[in-house]
Amino acid sequence: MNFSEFSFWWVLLLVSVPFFAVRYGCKSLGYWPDKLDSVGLAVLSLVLFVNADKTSFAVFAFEIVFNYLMVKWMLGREGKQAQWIATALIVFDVAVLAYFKYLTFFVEDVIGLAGGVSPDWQAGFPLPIFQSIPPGVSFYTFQMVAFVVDSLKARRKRPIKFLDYVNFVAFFPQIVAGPIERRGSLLPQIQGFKFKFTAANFDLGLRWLSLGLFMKLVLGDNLFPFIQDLSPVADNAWLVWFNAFLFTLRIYFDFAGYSFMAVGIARVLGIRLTVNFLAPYTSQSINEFWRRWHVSLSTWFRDYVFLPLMGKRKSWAPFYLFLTFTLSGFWHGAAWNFLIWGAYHGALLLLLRYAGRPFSRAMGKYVKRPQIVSWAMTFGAVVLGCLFFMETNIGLLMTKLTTLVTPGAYSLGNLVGAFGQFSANELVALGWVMVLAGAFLLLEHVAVWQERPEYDLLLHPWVSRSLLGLTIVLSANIPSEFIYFEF
Amino acid sequence: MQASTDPKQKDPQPKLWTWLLAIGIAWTVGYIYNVHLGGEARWLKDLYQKKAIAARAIEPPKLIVTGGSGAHYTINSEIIAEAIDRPVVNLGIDGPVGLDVILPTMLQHVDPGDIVLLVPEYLILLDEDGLGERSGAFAIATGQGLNQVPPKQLVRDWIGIGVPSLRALVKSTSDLMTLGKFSGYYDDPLTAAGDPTVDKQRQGDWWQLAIKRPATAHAIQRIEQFRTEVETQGGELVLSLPWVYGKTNEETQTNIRKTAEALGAIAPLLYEPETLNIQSDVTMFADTHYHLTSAGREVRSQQLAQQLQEILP
Repeated sequence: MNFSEFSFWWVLLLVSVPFFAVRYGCKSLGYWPDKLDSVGLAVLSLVLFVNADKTSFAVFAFEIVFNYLMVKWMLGREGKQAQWIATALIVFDVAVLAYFKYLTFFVEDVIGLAGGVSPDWQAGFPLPIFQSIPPGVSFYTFQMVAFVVDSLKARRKRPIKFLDYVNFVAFFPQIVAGPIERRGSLLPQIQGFKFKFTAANFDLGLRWLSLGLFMKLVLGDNLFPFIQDLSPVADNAWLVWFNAFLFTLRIYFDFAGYSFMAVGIARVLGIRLTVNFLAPYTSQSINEFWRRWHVSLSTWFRDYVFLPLMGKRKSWAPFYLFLTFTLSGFWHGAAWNFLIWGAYHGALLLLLRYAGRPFSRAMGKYVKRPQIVSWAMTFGAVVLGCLFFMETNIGLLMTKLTTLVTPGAYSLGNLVGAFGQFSANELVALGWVMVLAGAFLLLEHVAVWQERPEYDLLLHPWVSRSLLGLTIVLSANIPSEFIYFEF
Repeated sequence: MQASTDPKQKDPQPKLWTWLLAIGIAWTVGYIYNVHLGGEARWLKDLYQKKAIAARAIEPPKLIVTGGSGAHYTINSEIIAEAIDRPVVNLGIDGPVGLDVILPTMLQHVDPGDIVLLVPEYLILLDEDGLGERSGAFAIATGQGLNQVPPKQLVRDWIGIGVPSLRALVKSTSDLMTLGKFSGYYDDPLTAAGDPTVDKQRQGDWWQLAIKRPATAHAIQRIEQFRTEVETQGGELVLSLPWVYGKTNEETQTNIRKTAEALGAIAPLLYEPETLNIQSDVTMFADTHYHLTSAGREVRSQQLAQQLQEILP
């Protein structure tokens, strides 16, 4: 669901107002079976999904019924039989994802490398070709796959009601872009669901929602036009770095903002979702960064790819770690730059594994506060990684990388010229966004130093209300698309 | 690392009204800025109100020229008034306000004996629903055409009119510091007849506009309805194709011809059949493909005056 699109809130209002009015009336007369809360949630989720994207909903409707029937069949079987059903279902789910997401890339960029693909292959292909992935497929496929594995491993294989399964997979705040929830955390909250509208839930939900709205609409969306304007610049090293830095900020504010809005909306309904980001830019190592960044995806890859691949071959852990990160890069998009980005982070983790401790010891001898250096190096590495992530044009990416290693591209003329890219008003606006972003990140750092929950200061009651007020006053008037909707 | 959704500061008795207070204060600040200080809605409102005063000051029978900014920046009222011997008022507003809001707003200025010359730019004619991105803002700021905007768009625009945006605030602050006042696109002074007094300069490169479709069924139907409404009030509707700095390719010409046919079936249509009002001299255009320089407006007004003389009794 696109929370920054008015259409989402409008449909939510149109469905919710009559539903909750009827519920209130029936409840006060004692004619409201609790089961209708589950039905209401399912209807709300499905209507919002149809409103978001009809194609994606059609795919989803088929997948959810098929997955439910297969899981039900699997739960009624034991041992190898159950494993075979699970394997077949996972292969099917991944194949659907691959069809929507990777088919064009595979045919044109992989087979096409050998030169054996005709330019009009799409015309002769027996299935429709999608130029962009229907929203949500990447996320709900992973949630369904995790559900299959967790159900297979569950000690008590009790059947699950269809309505509960629909609410588990289709829960509207998180279906399109996560967090990717697990059976163990979300299903118990969904089974026999009842709306828990309490003042405390409203207050906490609004605090998370305000935080997410501020990150997305004020910080992320106000950075977007600058990134777009600077993206074609490939010959000025200062600007290439600066643009990657701006993108690093934006992708966090955009995606974490979305995730926090999901947490907030779910909390208003009485559901606790996974907090998908834990102040990742406070990290002092790449290891730590990946424990704080897109938590539900990182743990998904750990539990359903890395650990099963490695099995008992612990000595091969580095190889499987690298492979897992490369695959996780590829999950983000069907393009070479995402593969490079995943491999880059895998390589960084291996570098840290083998050279991290000796480097820390050496640094500790010469530097008074090595944690600041560690933080700066980690953040710098993430910024460089973002250059791979943001640039889907491989030719332009290579030009930018060449610029970064060309000493002449760091000339004083280029530095002065960098300021000439924008008008005075644009520079002032950019300055204000940077001040707000800096203050925001500083509050995360302070919370981490004080060993509080990462967003504790930003979720303070009065800070939350101020953030909402600032969002109303400072939001970009043309919201940009959520970056992760493309994945 | 902690992954709890609950911050430490849990409020056992949260005061939910404080959320409404925060929203209310911020939205009110935004509304005041947008409608009364430096926001786009303020300049639209001022533009319309100045023109409405001009229209009221003129005794009927008069000629009302209306449409979007393409109409506002297309005429010199004095030249036309002199030629046709009746007062002229320029009631062109802004294309993105949309036909469905512009037309009912204009209707209240029509008196018996008036002639209404509608010069709609293609932006308006190609619109599927008669509403534009500024329909709601204009309706809310001026109170005109509110019932023309569908509830969904109106609710969205009511919310939006309290949201100024960082960039707008930075621009306005800079204007205050450098000019000593707020400024906006439509803030230039108008003549007594509602004509613009300043030529805007184009910053980017020019290209010739292509018209890729004929006028939509909605636009044609709405203009037809407008003719009936004008006639009911004792007025008469005349239409004109806009002058546009456009392509002269087959596609554009075909689409303009189809548009001309449809408009001509509604009311007398003023245009040059040979050129279809497609202009190739870019020096007559100011900042957009429809806005003319003052010299361009003079030429265009002489042409309009002559065409009007041919059809007026």
